[in-house]
Amino acid sequence: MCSAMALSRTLSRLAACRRSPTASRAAAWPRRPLQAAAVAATAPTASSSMFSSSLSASHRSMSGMRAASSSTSSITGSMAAEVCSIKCCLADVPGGMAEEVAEVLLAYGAQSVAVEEYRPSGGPEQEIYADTEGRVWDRCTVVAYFPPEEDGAAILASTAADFGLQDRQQLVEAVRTQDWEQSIRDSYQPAQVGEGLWIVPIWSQAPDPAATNIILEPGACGLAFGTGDHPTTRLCLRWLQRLQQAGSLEGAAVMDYGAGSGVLAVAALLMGAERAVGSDVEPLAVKATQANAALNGVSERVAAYLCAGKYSYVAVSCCLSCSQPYCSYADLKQPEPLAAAGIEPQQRLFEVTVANILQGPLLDLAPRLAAYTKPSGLLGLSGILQEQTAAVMEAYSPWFHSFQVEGEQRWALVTAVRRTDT
Amino acid sequence: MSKPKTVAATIRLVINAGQAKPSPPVGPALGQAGLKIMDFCKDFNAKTATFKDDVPVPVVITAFTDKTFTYVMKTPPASYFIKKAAGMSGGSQKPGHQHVASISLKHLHEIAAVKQQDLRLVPLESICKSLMGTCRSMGVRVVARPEDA
Repeated sequence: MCSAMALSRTLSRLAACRRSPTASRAAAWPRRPLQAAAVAATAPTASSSMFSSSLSASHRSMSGMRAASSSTSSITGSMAAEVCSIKCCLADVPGGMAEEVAEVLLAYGAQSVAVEEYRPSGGPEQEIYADTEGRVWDRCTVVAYFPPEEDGAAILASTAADFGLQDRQQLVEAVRTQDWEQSIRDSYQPAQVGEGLWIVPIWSQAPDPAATNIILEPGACGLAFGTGDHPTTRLCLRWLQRLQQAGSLEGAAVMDYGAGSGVLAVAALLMGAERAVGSDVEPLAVKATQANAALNGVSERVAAYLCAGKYSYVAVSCCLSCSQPYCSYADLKQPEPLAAAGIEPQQRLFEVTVANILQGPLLDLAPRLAAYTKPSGLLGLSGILQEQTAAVMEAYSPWFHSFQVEGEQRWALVTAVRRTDT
Repeated sequence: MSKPKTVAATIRLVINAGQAKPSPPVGPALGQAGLKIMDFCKDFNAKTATFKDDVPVPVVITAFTDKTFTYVMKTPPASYFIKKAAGMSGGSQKPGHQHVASISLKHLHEIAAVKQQDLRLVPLESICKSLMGTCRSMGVRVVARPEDA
């Protein structure tokens, strides 16, 4: 179900999103200056220093790079797709060093490093076959992606100098979120979750217009979870559908804790719930929930809150394999998000609470989720493996009863009913 | 008869177990090679579903010119194990001068045993020595007995 608005937005995004511009195209494409302006707008001093450092570092700098830097300085623009990575390339690295250079760059903070063949334009291709083990090309290009907060250009320059490669060409450019989203579009097709329940990516047509179709923008705001691909999302959605068939969703208030893309909150609303609240420790998830709610026309019934989060290591006790993971938790010492946002106590109670997270956070969240759920309210928990259900049920039994478990592949959904006496 | 596949690039990344997503680092790196990002994410997340979540897993992907790929997973970085064993959240600001935590030789041997899976030809002692170097660079003291830690 592609509305005209969604379609035009998709088209404009497709048009604006090409591979990262080489400087020679900067002059040809009218839209290029906007993207260059995005770089300038988001990091004006960083980009000019990036270009100048690469110019000074290599004698054979591409003449086009100078054109790019002049065009960024002359254009002002306000549209900016977020810069998600800085791509730094070092050309003509001898094959023997390439892997080591890659490892060093990773150690210094690159998110990913790729080693490709270095082919000066017009040069012959040196083919490396899949069956030759561990061979690299004689001359390689090393491409590293750094997070925006790291000074990728400086790290690349100093690493190159360490290997004696400081006179090799270095190229630094910003990568915007949309550049690679382009390539994942095709892998998203409408997916049927249950009888008469589909998840449809924003750029597709719903195969069954009469069914309940949840429109999502996969990868929006940088998130992938909640696209409907994961068994846990499907388990929760089918559970909501059963509630709908039993009439439990009519006029109900639903809490989606750990909302991710907000798919469960949106689904509940499409199935007849009156209002839904989503909460997540990830700011992008809050944005994604609001965006997906708007796509489905339910934004006025959805409220999304950011929950204070924390990261924690737990020390190894007896052996490495039995220690707890490093996890993104809700920080339970901070006030509960809805109360912190000034929501009245009555509005903080829900007929249905669903939390699709992971076992670790879920075990700690039992009191909070119990506080959200009205007496005789319904609870759905997922993101847990089949072998983890016993621990989860034990953690929640002070407040819930009538536990049931349903599984898909190795994942499980635990459902329960809120007790009236605690 | 069919031409063997040629390699287009080898890509190295570190991804937390069960958390491969199209966003960076996976997206730009795989997108550049024209690989199906979601296929990799699903496969990786399924393979690491048994792992403790959020364990950083180094991955080396071989991308072929026909847009297919294979990949191998390695053991998490030594620094991750050391941080967990020492119960710390961050490294020292002044490694070599200031110690934030300490671990025992017993821990070090356990970590070395795990890392040896990736370094089968390297003797355990050499791995231990290199781990001690990593500890030094993180500002972690290595003590002989767990009680002293």
